[in-house]
Amino acid sequence: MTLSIQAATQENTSFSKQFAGLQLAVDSTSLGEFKTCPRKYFYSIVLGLQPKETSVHLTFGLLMHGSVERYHHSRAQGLGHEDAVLGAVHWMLKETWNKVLARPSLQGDTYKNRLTLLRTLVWYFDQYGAEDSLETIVLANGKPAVELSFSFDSGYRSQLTGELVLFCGYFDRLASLNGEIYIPDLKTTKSELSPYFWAQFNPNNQFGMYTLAGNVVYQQKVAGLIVDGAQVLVNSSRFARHLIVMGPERIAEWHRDAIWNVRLMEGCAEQAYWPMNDKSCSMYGGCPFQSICSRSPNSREPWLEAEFKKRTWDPLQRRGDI
Amino acid sequence: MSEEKERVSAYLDTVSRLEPDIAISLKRIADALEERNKNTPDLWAFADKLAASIESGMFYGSQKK
Repeated sequence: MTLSIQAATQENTSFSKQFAGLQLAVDSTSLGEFKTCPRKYFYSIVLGLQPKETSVHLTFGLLMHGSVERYHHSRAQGLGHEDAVLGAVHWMLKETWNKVLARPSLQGDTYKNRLTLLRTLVWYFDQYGAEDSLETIVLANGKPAVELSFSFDSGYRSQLTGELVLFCGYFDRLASLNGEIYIPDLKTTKSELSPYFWAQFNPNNQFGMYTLAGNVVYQQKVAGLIVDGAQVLVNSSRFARHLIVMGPERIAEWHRDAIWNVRLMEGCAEQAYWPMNDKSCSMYGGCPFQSICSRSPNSREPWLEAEFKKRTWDPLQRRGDI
Repeated sequence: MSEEKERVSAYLDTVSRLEPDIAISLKRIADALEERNKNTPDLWAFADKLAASIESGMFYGSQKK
């Protein structure tokens, strides 16, 4: 595994080929990592490293998300609720089945395992499936607004190369409720769905990007986001829905702040130095790179090679199309 | 938890231990039975029994090879 900036970003289409380490297509994940800690951004996005052991919380969230995405895709193609649920559940069961050992994977965690995933998914569809008042909208091109990739001019050109910086990303769908358009999202948690839980989404980096994108790319006046919270317990799952509204002034402010951070990202690339933010190390359950940063700078590289694997994060590799 | 929810939970517990295609086939069988006899009170019990049979190897087929 090579840890040079140039080699790490060579195949990554979101990075400049004129200036090593300069990201030109920025999604909310990249921006979020940079805001959390420039050094974390350097390791995870620029070098493209991730822990060899994947977090069960991340896996669970991705599987839940992927299943719901398949459900909405099937519904948009005209399938009925029951068939769409079955398709989503089948996909999830396949994703969590170890063919070699002929037994389920995603076992071992008391809260987040194959059973709690299946139960949360089925109950979620019971609550927000057939009778959901949130309806997927149809875009101007006649296609249902599901699996939407976006990229648009951020309004900023690199001072180093003159290249345009894009904002890009992906969201599952656009939906309407009472005549207003929203971007729905789903978050799973072990925590109670309390005001404290909802507070983390307003303000929120990812949702700021989504709301801006909804307004710019799809030319739809997006009122905000609808977040479905799924609380996963050992013997039960609970759900709640929360509305997050971002007015035009807040969207403009988010955009201004995002550009500010893009300039800082550019400054780091220019210096080939991404400083540590040691106030973030223990946030969000602990940074995976904490064990690296706590070592002497001269001894980090062998540890990175031993404990992390390569995973190129390229937000321009679109997952869907419109 | 309601009785119905408990039954569904127990059923899901069984399904979560099954191979994907078998689990989905089981659901389709249960749905077909429900459609044919909407008043079958022991539907879930039947489904559980069937799932247990599959698990015990009665219908395991390739999974047991």
